[in-house]
Amino acid sequence: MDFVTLFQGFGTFTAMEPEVIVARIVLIVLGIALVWLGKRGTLEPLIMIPMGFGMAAVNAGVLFFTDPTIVGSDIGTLFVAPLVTETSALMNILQIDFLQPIYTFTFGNNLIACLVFMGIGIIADVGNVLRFPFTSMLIALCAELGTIVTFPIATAMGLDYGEAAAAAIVGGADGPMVLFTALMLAPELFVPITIIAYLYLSLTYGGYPFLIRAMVPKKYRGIVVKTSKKTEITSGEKVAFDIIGCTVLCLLFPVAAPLFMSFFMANAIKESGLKKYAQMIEDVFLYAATFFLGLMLGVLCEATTIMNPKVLILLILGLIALTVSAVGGIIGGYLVYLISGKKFNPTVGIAGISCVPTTAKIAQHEVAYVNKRVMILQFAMGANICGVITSAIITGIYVSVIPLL
Amino acid sequence: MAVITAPMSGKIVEINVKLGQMVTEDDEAFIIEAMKMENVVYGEAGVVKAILVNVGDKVEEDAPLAEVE
Repeated sequence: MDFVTLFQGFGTFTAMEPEVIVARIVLIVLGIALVWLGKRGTLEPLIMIPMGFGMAAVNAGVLFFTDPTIVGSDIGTLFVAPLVTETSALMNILQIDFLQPIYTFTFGNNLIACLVFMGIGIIADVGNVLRFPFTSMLIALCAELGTIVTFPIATAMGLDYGEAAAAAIVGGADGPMVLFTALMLAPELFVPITIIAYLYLSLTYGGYPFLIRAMVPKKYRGIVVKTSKKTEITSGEKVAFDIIGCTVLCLLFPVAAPLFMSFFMANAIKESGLKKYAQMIEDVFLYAATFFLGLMLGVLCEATTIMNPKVLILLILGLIALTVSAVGGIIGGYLVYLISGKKFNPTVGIAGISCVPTTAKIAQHEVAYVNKRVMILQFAMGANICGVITSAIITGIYVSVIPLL
Repeated sequence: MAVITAPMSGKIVEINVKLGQMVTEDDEAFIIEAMKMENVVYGEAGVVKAILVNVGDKVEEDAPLAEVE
């Protein structure tokens, strides 16, 4: 009975290839770093703390299985076995690995992405989209620049069409959308793409202000925007928009119908005053989905699952996608500025990046920093929500078209 | 007489001025919460003559919050 047999976490190091051992150590350190950065608030703690724990624990807790025929391999973890697809092996694993049911029943079928989308719908105010439809749409469309431009860059870097599309969707700045696209078009890469997307989305809070300051000079950042009429959007109008918009978008892009329905239904629940449902979605679904999302992403970062040479390419592509999209959004802001006769604040453009409500907050923050009496939050939120819809449309297009290529 | 109005619709979460208090344009008079964000409503120069809302009230954009003279 020696040390490595008794403490199998160490023992498994002796049985794996050197690259895997190094990867496990790196991921353990990364997991610890994520927990620390989450606690400090540098990265979004709601995702990063579970993710960091999952990452560190799953890479440290590797053990030898005594009966490989049941679990399908002789080394593994008791967390989740994402690469098992054969039905009877899967049924075994579901009863052994404690997070396997979450993975099999909420990730593969996109339930978790839809739950997060319900959470977004329940706090969103589509009134801002209805009040400023043209500015919101224009900015949101311009902010999709990254999702379009990254696709050819990705294929040039060696990814196939499905993988390139999933990488490009990172520029849509919508975690659930990236999860959805990756699962449909590039399932082998879905873990690294999703983790990279969520990591970068957490970092936008730190990075985008600098982009704004570089692209929008102070005198433009402080422009006051007046709303011309007090157009009150009733909740009835919002619900009408929700159900009709939902149906039309589902007809156009059935492949993204689950996401559309989740968002619009939750929003209609909010606008219909169904307080108990709203509480359930906001307090239970959203937080449960966010928690399990962070946890599962961390636990899926087990060295053997994510070691893939394409990870480096994805890191670069994700950065390109989000930066180009932000630039596009700000250009959209400038376009509205010019079209409205210089009466608009271009900073609002960044809110076209649909990281709700982070980018709207960033826009308001940067504007208030220069001129604290300016309130552009309502325009930013309009662009934000529209950005969600345009990202969903681009996702629908990619997922419908790519399999035909 | 000036009126401090809500710059956007939301819920009043803090009232930082009192009747008879001297306020300036730099004072954070109210805090309105909207879309999970807290936004500051700045004051107008003068003395507070009336406070028209309570904490927890939902207000619309341009709703009057307080009168200042």
